[in-house]
Amino acid sequence: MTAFIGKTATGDIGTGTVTYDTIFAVGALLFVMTLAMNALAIRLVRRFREVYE
Amino acid sequence: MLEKVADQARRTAGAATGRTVGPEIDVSGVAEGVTHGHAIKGAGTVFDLDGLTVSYAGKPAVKDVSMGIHEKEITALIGPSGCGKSTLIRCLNRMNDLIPSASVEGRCLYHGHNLYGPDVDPVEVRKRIGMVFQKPNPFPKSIFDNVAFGPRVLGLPDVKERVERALRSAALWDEVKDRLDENAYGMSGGQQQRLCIARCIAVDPDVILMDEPCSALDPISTGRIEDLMLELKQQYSIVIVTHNMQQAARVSNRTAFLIVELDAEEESRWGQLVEYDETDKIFTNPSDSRTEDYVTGKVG
Amino acid sequence: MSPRLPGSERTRLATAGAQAAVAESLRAQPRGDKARGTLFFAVLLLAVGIALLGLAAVIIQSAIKGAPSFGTHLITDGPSTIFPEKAGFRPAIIGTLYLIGGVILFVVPIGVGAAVYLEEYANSERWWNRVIDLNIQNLAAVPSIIYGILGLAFIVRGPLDLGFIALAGALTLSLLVLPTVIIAAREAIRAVPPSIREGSLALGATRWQTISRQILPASIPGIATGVILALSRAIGEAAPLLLVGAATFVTFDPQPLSGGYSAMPVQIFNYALRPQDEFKVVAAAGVILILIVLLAMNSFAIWLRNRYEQRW
Repeated sequence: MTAFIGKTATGDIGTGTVTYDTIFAVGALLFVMTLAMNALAIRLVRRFREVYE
Repeated sequence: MLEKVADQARRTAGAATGRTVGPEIDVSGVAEGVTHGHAIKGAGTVFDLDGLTVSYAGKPAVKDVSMGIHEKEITALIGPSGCGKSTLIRCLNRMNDLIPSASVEGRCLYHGHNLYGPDVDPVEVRKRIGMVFQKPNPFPKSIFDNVAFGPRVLGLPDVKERVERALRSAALWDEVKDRLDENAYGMSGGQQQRLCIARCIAVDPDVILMDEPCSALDPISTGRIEDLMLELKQQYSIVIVTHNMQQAARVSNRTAFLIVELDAEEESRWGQLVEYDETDKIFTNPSDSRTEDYVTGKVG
Repeated sequence: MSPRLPGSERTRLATAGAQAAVAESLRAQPRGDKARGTLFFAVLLLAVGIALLGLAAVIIQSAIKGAPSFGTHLITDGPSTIFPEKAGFRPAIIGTLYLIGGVILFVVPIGVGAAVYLEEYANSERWWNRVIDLNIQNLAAVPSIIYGILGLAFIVRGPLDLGFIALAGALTLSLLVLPTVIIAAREAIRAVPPSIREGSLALGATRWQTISRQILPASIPGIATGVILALSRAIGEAAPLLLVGAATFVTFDPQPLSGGYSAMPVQIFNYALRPQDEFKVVAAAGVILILIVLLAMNSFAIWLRNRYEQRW
């Protein structure tokens, strides 16, 4: 996904086109995925921490 | 005998008017372990506590304390751990404000003014009522900057003179005068605590509160600080919390004894004031049997 | 001759037997357990070895490949499409310097300010403060290209509409490293023990005086280390800069507030994409250059931390 964004954005694209918008769509998807993974990670950390303390 | 009656009358008169009345009286204590010569100077009260109750998150830590703390005396708070001595002393300079869950009920008057009144600024309170903590907490700065911090932030003039005066009063000047620029952490524990006392004095407070100032120190440092306290009380009113009752007997004019009360049903515990009187009386002829048990070592 | 009591012989035998059993039990170890322990240790060493090997491979390969191109012209000359011998990184270096300057300018006040607020003034029990906490941690882990998109949408175009200038790049990179700086600054502030705060407040200092004269000075080494480490990440980020218009081919010295600009990672990227092999050499030399800078920055950060670290 990162490569797609990089390649598309550095090419020649107009501001209003669909291609321009897809950059943001893919970016949003990437953001949501990393957010979910982070939330999971934090929850796991908290669970393991509770076991020890 | 007559002496004692006259003394009692004088003190009552003093308490009523809030002013120092009459000359000093020397009351010699005679029991073992109690030094003589605690002068009962006048009867002006610095603090007047009336039904003071402190709670943390709704649970009372110390209940219904009523006592008057007198000027230019050393007042000791003793009792087993958990009886709320530290909580009580922290009320006197509004340090409990730092704990969000703490709440205070009852009255706490400072020279007749409500310390917890709506228009009272805790910062102003702490300028006049200083505190020395159990574990010496010098700042990570030089010795000079440690003592100078108070005067500087309060905008007091003649910082250098104040620092020297404070260090002299704390019996530290001769030891550090050649190394004022060195980091305070290089000093020994006893020196650090005297530094904290000097830091407190440098802002010319009215009262010095000491929360177990010697419990982290060795006996020699403890002795030096006790001597220091006896000197300081000529200028400042001192309230000290100590778990070492011999210390209370050695240095204080008056002693308050608190215990831990238990509520078996709710499984809660809080501190309660049992007896508050002149130190000699507390240690030689206490009114309450619980006091007697504690000072004679029957209970811990 | 000591008189023999009945049973003393048995006692002696029993004692000897007990001693032997103890010695045996101390010596013995289940063979399988030991073997597993050794195997585990070997696997751990292998893991460390692979990690170090990967790093060494990058460095050595770049060094070997880029060696022919080493010379002062790397720093003094601008890029060229025709003469790889004369190709340098000058505009990229200047661009990177501007970017670093901009990042420091934005990140330090905002990051430290946010950290001070969160540690000193915010009530940690309130739910929205915990949400802020969580979000900062998440933002620190968001892929850098998303910051590029953010920059493209809001800084270069959109509301700020700065265009493709170095300032826009600096702002984008600032947003990228800001969460890291906030986290590091919070740790540094948190490390100051409460006894220092209490001591200061007990003297009659206000909260702000305590923060500005005791807590911040004591946490500066930690904050500085955090900022430097964040910066060293920002230097190497190519992805967001590509989106924000660090044009890959700039022959002039960039200006911070106008015109196009370039940056080291982007320039390396550009050289590496060229078909000619000679340019790949220049790219490798650029990698070495950046690695030297990164090593210097990280070493400085570590030295700073060790020298000024406060042991409470």
